[in-house]
Amino acid sequence: MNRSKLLPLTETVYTILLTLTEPAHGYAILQRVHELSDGDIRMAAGTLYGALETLVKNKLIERVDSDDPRRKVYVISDYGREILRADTERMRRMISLADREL
Amino acid sequence: MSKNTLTKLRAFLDLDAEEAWINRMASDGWLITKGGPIYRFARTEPGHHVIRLDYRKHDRRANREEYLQFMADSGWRHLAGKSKQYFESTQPEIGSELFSDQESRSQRYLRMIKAFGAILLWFLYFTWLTGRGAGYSVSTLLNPRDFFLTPGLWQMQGFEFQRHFYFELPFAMLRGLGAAMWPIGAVIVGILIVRIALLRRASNQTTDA
Repeated sequence: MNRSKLLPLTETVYTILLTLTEPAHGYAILQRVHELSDGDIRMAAGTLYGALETLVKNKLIERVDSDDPRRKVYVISDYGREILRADTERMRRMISLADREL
Repeated sequence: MSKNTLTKLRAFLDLDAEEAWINRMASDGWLITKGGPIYRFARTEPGHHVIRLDYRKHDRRANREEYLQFMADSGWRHLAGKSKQYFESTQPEIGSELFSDQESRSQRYLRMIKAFGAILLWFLYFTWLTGRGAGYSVSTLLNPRDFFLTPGLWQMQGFEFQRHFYFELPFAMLRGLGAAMWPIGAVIVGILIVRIALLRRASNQTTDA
C-alpha cells in the first residue's frame, strides 16, 4: 500500500497502532485505548471492528495465534511500526512549527 | 392470555429509520428476535432499550462467531440478523453507540451496496443466460410474438389460428415470464442500490454540517 495514501493516520488508526505494540484481542484494544488516553478517547466497538479489518488488509497489523479461536489476537507489523513512526515524525514537525509560530 | 410474539412486515433501506422503529417497538415492550422483511418480536420489559444496527456479512462461520464474541465482550448482545445485525447494549450507561465516527457509521451503507451489487451481477448473468440458452432475450419482450414457437402460427387463419394460439399461449407466457424475470429483478436491485448510495451520501453530509 502506498505510504502517502495512509498518511496522515486518523486518530482512530493512530491509537489502535499504539495499543498494538503489544498483542491484544479486540476488546482488550478498546480497554487499552481508554486507559492510554486517560478516558479521553472512547472508541465504539463497530468502529474498531471495521478499522481492524482495514488495518489487516493494508498490512499495518497482523493476526497472531491465540489459544481462544473465538478471539482474534492482533499485533502491529514491521510496516505498521514504520508508518506509525513516520506519522509521529510528521506530527512532531507540525508541533515544533506550531511552537515557533504561536 | 395475551400474545407473546408479534410478526410485522416492513422493508427498510434507511438504517437510522429502522433503528428508530426497532427502539420504539422495544420501549413499547417488543424486542426484536428476527430481522426484516418479516420481523419477529418477543415480549420484553417496556422501557428504555438501546438497540443499534450494523451491516456485515461474514463468508465464514468462524469469522461471524469471532465478530459476535467481540461484540459481546464489548457490551453488545446480538438480538438478530445475518447481514443486518441488531445489537442491544448491555451497559447503556457506558456506551450507547456502535460507531464513534461518522465515517465508520456510513460505511455500513457501502457494505450494503457491495452486497446488493453482488445480487445485481447474478441477475445480469441470468438475464444473459436465459437469452443465450433459449434463443430469446430482453429485446424479445418488445416483440412478444417470438415467444410462440408453433411453425407458421402467424400465417394461420380463423379457427386453426385460434386453436394453435390458445394452446400455446400459457407456454408463451411462461417463456415471457422467464425472459422478463431477471431483467426486471436487475432493474429493481439497481434502483435499490441508487437509493442506498443516496442514503450513504446523506449520512456523510451530516458530518460536515
